[in-house]
Amino acid sequence: MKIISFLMSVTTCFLITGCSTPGKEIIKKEKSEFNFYISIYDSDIDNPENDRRCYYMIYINKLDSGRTTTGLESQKKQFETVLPANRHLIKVEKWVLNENLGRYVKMNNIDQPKPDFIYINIEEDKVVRVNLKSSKSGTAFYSVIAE
Amino acid sequence: MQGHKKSISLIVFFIFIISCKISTNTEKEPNNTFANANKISINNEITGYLESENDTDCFIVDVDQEQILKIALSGIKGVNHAVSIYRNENPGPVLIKVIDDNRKSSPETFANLYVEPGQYFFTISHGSRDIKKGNTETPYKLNITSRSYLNEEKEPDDTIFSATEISDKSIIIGYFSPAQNTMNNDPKTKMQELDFFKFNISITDNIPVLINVRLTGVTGVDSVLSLLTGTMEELHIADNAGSSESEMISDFGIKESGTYYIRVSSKNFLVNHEIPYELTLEYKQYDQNSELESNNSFDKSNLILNNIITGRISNSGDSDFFHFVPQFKNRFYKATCSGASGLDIVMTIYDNNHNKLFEINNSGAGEPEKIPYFMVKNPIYISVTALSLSSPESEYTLALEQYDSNEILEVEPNNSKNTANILNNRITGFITYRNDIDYYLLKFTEKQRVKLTVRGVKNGRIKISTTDPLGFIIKSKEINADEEVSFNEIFDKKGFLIVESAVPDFEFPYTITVEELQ
Repeated sequence: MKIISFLMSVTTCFLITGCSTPGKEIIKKEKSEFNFYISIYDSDIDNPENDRRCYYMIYINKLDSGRTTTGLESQKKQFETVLPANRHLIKVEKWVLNENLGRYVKMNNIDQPKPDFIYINIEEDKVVRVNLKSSKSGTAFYSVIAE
Repeated sequence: MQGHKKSISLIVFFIFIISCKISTNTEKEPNNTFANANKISINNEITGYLESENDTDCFIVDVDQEQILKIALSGIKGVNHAVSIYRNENPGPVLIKVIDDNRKSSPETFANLYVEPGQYFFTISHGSRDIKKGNTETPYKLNITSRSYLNEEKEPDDTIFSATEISDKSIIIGYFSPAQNTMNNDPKTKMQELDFFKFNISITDNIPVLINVRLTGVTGVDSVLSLLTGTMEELHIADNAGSSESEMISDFGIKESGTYYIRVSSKNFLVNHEIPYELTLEYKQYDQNSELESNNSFDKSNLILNNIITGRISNSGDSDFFHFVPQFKNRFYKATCSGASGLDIVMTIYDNNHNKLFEINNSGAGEPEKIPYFMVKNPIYISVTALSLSSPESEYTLALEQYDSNEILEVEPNNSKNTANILNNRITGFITYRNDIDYYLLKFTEKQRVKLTVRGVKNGRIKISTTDPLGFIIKSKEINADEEVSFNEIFDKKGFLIVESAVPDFEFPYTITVEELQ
């Protein structure tokens, strides 16, 4: 179990580092109003009963910047914004629907995606797309594409 | 010698007086039948014995003029006795009243028997409830006293057939006496002593007549006042006040000519042989700005003309229905219902199809209930009830006032997603009633980030929530008093704003402004 966790962490770190490494496929930004996109979903939901409605709060540089769209955990939830060229800290916070309360409630820290943050570099005339794939165990896999 | 003669004369005189008194004030057996009844006179006390279980003592009284008799029979230890009263008619005596409180050793009293010239029999016998047994040691005393008849009920008036007549602006006195009426076999009122009064109503030009009936309180008696049709249908029952307090039927509308009856009774066989009640009856023509009872249902609702109507909550179960037809559709109105001190009013608004829209019970007793602004799209019904009554005169005034505004106002009811008001740029809303929830729907062509600016209610606190497209709450904020709060939210094409009151303020509005962000 410890080995698996270690491997996952290594993989995550690799993905984060690798995806954000300059020299990867860089495409000139097309005419778009936003330059940062993040898309989050759970990859291993195998039972509709466990597929909860949720959204993610997005904190950029420790400031509340909005939220993703709402959707099932298995669906992609989107957030987009305009960021100045710089290195930015992106943190996500998962909220799930409590149908009994009729409202979304923040998941316990232990159930939040791990890691729940990523650093990205925004360059002039570039668009950064982050895909966050989460699993039941809470492990998060980030992939970053700079276009 | 002279002294001896004087003494002898005095002794003889006293013996004569005593013997006369005994002979005139004691029953003479046998007197068990009408034929051998002892003749007695009014205002003379008679003494007698119920010597055996079968003993009946019969007395006859000649009445030479219309008057009221009070019958008082003292108690006999261990014996439940009764007085039966007969009027001597052709072909024979007719039983008109039985005085029997169904208790041992207690006296029997009847405060006001109405008599006309003729003969009346009074028979003393055992009551019907307990084991009959004689008592040769303790005598009873029967005392029949009289007074003139003047504006008084004519007992026995225990049925509509013997009801006492009463007319407009007349006052009649009566008594909650005797305790029971063993001749009353009506299942609803069995054994109760009832007093019936009758009056005639003549309707002209189809204008209803409003009647007011007032029954004064009598010490120790909790009374009930009822209004009946000629066919004994109960039109109205006034039973608001407690013991010793008065009851009232106010402005009850009668639409048909005919004979009507008032029934006076006491609860729990309570009596008062000494203090009379006063019953007052008044008629007046219906004023179209007044409630017309009975209006306890949609079908019998009163039309509100001139945007104002007065009414009364005559008992705790009374509900008054009014029908309001606006001159123009889709207009805002203010509604105020103010009542007498102590009257805790509840206003309920229904649509034209009798569906309940909302209920207003914001204020306490004695304070007016208000609906600040509400949209009247079509004719509506308004019912007025009360959680507590102030007095028998629980009057109220219901007034509606059209309100024209340049602002976009909330349209009640909007308590659910299905009835949400569409919110475009700005809206003004109210916490209309306790636990009021206001839903607003925001719709966009695509995902939209918006800036919401909310100003709260002046003297309260509201909670505003944003939702996802399905109506599940995403974010909530509380706004104190009339402070202005702005926050951003993203709507996935569609979402709701929900306004709830944390501390209600029904007087002042809140406003919501929506600004689309890039």
